[in-house]
Amino acid sequence: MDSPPPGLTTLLARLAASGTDFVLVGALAAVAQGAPLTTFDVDVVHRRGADNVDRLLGFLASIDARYRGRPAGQVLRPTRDALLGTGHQLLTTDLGPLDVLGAIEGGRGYDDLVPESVVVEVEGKRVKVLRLRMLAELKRGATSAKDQLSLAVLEETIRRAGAG
Amino acid sequence: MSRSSQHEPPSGAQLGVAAAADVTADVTLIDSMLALSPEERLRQNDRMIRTIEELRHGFAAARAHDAARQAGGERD
Repeated sequence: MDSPPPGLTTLLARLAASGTDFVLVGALAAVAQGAPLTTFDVDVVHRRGADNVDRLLGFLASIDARYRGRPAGQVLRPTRDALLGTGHQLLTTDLGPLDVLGAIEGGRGYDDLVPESVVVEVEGKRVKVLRLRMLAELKRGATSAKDQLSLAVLEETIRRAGAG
Repeated sequence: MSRSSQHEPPSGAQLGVAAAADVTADVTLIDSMLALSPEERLRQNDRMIRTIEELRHGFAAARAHDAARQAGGERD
């Protein structure tokens, strides 16, 4: 019998094992803290220092990262310059979809998010995860129906956990 | 609650509110997730993705099967 694909947990753990500094954000950050959501990708905000970007680039190459949504046969890979900036790199990899974000709402970058994060252990690696309370705050400015549904789940999870 | 109202089915609007509340904040799901470790929660998401993908493949296969059957029927 074929073994199942590695999954997003493994993608996250391998990114942590690469030594890259990042904060997990988005729906998977909420899942890690108990929100009953389902998500198909990993969203991270990375530290945009040159040393960290080089580590991240090496990791991305090792999992054959390329931009999603490109026409067939037109493979485009993330560049050092792109990762040094604040833009969003929406990638597909051998381990699953990975969104590498230079900054998120309000121009918040890695250094802004670290104080708002908690550390969880995944496959023996320490991963910084943006707090539920901050994830909910970011969702409050969003207007889509999907974000409104997620916000309700986040707020109830914060209440049930008694923290955030 | 009056005796008569006990026997009246909930209105569509009432059902809608209840359904929306279930979808947006099912506390039983939240509590079961909170009982897990962070890594177990992430693995639960992986399992959900696999289940959703299996269902998608199943629906696609069923559609293809129906289309083939319909095309065969039209030829007869």
